[in-house]
Parts: sequence; C-alpha cells; structure tokens
Amino acid sequence: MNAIIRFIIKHQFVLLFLLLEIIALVLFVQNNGYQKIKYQAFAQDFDGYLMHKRHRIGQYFGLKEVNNKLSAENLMLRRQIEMLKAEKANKDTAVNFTSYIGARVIDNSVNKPYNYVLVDKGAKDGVKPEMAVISNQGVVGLVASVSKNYSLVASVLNRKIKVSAKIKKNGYFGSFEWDGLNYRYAYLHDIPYHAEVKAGDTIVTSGYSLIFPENIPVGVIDEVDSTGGNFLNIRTKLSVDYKKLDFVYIIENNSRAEIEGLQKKGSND
Amino acid sequence: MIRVLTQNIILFFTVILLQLFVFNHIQLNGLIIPYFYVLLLLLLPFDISKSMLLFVGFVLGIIIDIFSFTPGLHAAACTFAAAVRPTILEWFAPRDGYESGTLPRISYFGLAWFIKYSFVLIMAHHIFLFFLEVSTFHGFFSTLFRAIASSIFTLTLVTVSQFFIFRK
Repeated sequence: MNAIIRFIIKHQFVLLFLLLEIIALVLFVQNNGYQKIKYQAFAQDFDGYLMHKRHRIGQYFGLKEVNNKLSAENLMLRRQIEMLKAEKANKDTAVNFTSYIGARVIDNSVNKPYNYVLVDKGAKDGVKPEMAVISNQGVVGLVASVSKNYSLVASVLNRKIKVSAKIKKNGYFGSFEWDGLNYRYAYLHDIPYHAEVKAGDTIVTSGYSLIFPENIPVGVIDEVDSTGGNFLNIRTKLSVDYKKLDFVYIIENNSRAEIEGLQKKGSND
Repeated sequence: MIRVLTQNIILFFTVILLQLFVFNHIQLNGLIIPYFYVLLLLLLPFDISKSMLLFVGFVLGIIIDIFSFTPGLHAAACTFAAAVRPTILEWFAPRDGYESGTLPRISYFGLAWFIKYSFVLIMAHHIFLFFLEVSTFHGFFSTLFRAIASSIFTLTLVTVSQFFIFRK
C-alpha cells in the first residue's frame, strides 16, 4: 500500500497528465459524431444568448444589404408561388415538404474541418435534429442538435456531411462532399466517366436522401477532372456563400417517417 | 505574489473572452485561425507547480471547448502544451537558470527570448490541436501547413499583445 502511494507521489505529474489527457480524449472521441451531445444543450443556450447579443450589435451595420437581400428574396418567393400554383393543378402525389421555419444565423464558421452554423430557432419553435436547412441561394446543411431556443446546424462545410446531389441537366447523381480546404468549393463524387458534364452545369439536390427536397441548388460545376479512373472528380463552386449567410429556412419532410418505415419493411422481407 | 495571482486570474478570463468573441471569428483565407488563449499558458509564473500548470491548462481548454462546441479538443491540446512547457522553458533557460521573482515576459528576458520560447510552445499546441481536430494523417502536409501558418499568426498576436499589457 505504501509503495503504491509512494509511486503515485513520485509520478504525480505524469499520472495527472495522463488522467487529464484521457478525460479530454474520451470527451473528444465520444462527441465526434456530427450529432452533438446533450450536455451541450445548456452551453448552446447560453452561448446562443451571448452570440445573439453580439450579433445584434453587428446587425445595424448590415441593414442596407439585408434589405436588398430581403426584397430579392420576396421577388423570388412570389415567382415561386405562381409556379407552385400552376404545378399544384396537375400534381398531388409528390413527397411533401410543408413545415418551413424561418431562422436567422447568429454564429457561423467556415475555417474548420467540421463547421457549424448556430441559428436562433430551437425545440420551442418545432425544430428537430436531422431537419434540412436551406437559404434562398441553396442548401446550407442539416440540424445537428437542438436546444430550447437555438439549434446547431452542421453545414455542407462539414466533412461528416454528405449530400445526395445530381446534375440538373441529365440526372446523374452522386454524393456531394467538402474536402475541408476552400470554403467556396466542394466535390461531387460517383459520377460515371461517360456522363456528359462540363464547367457551368448546375448541381441540385437529388431528393433521394429524404432530408432535402428535390432540386434545391447546391452549386455550379467549376472544373471536371477525368483522370481518376471510372469516376469523374467534379469541383463545384458552392451556391451559398457561407460568409454572408443570414436568413435560413428549416424544412421538415413530412413523408419521411412513412417512407423510411416502408424501406425498413422492404429490407426485412 | 498576490499581484501576480490577480493578474493571472484577470488574464484567464480576458483570453477566454477574447478568444470566443474576437479570435474565433478571425478567418484568414478560411483556413488560418489564431488560438490566442495560449497566451495564458505562456505567461504563468516560472514557479507554478507542474500539477497546477496541467490543471490550469485543462480547465482553460475545457472552457474554450464548451463554448466552441468542440468537447475535449482544446482541453487535450492545452493539457499537452502545459505538460511540455517546463521542458521548453529548460531549453531556453539562461546559464544560471531563472532568477526567483522574474516572470516569462519581454520586460525580463527580452524580445528574442520571448519569441523563441512562445513559438515553440505555440507550435506544440497548434500541431497537436490541428491533427487531433482532423483525427487523421491523411492530407498530412495540408494540416501541417495550417498548423504552422496559424502558429505564426498566433505568435504575432501574442507578441503584439505584450506591448499593450505589461508595458512597464
């Protein structure tokens, strides 16, 4: 017993170092999924509150630009209403996305391998994890965790997020991922070699993942690299400029539970 | 003694607030980010016990973690930096060791000493942090480049900050 105590005292520095380092690494590994943990709900609420205050101060300086953006968005929405009215007449069986929740971005990063956006709507407003988040420019990401008043959104600029996307003009689909380097560019993988693609083509969501609605813009092809074997390596300029992100919409796919249930049933048979 | 203690407590909260509200939002090229809060570890007195040093590092890291949504990441890096600090100080020690009553600041040991000592400690912290953050050696050189570039940026900020506080 004495020997053990002597050993601990003698090596207290190394032992304390190992202890603290192990605690830190366990925390890190356990919470390494893009779905962030529950204990953070309180920090998220508190942090959200502080960021909100900070954001409010900055807000006034950008009012003019915000106004311009809003009027542009109004215009777009009006056009969309007209379009939808026409569409509704002959279409009544599509997957329906109805719950739209508007939110403002209060904190945002683009410089880490795993970036998150903090928005000012939470469980209280009906936000749930895994809901899709878009802006008027295109796909933003999906909700990773929710506290009472705020939610944390894993953006496309997060290497753990993959978006199922397709090339608009010919429908070839693949998975869309960020490589962690430049926040304006990401890559579309799994497009076969024979697909006809060129710079300037638009990439939109495929709708297969059941998280994002179909045809939400993702980006525009910037460069096609065909040297890498059976699949093309397509560099894409993201349609959303994450540094200017302000208003976002959180969407829920109302048919998702039903479709997933059906798929599970199918795979059990 | 009491004065040094109060200074460090104030510094503790100042670096945390500055990191969360200012430096977390500075993004050069979208890749380079300064972790200015290491300043606290740099400036702690020479005679602080090694265990206390580890503990301060861990607490500092965990607070930054909680508010940057990165549980464990900064805590691990800070604990590591705190652990290597005594060794780094030994490397740069004057011939007869550090006199009692002196502090690791520019005013006591000069600019060149401070930059050398800070750079090594900041590099240790940043390299550990950036590699842990991506948790892979895939893309080794791009991560290493980010770590080194960010270290230089942090070093610049840390050195400049010295001329604003402790002017003496």
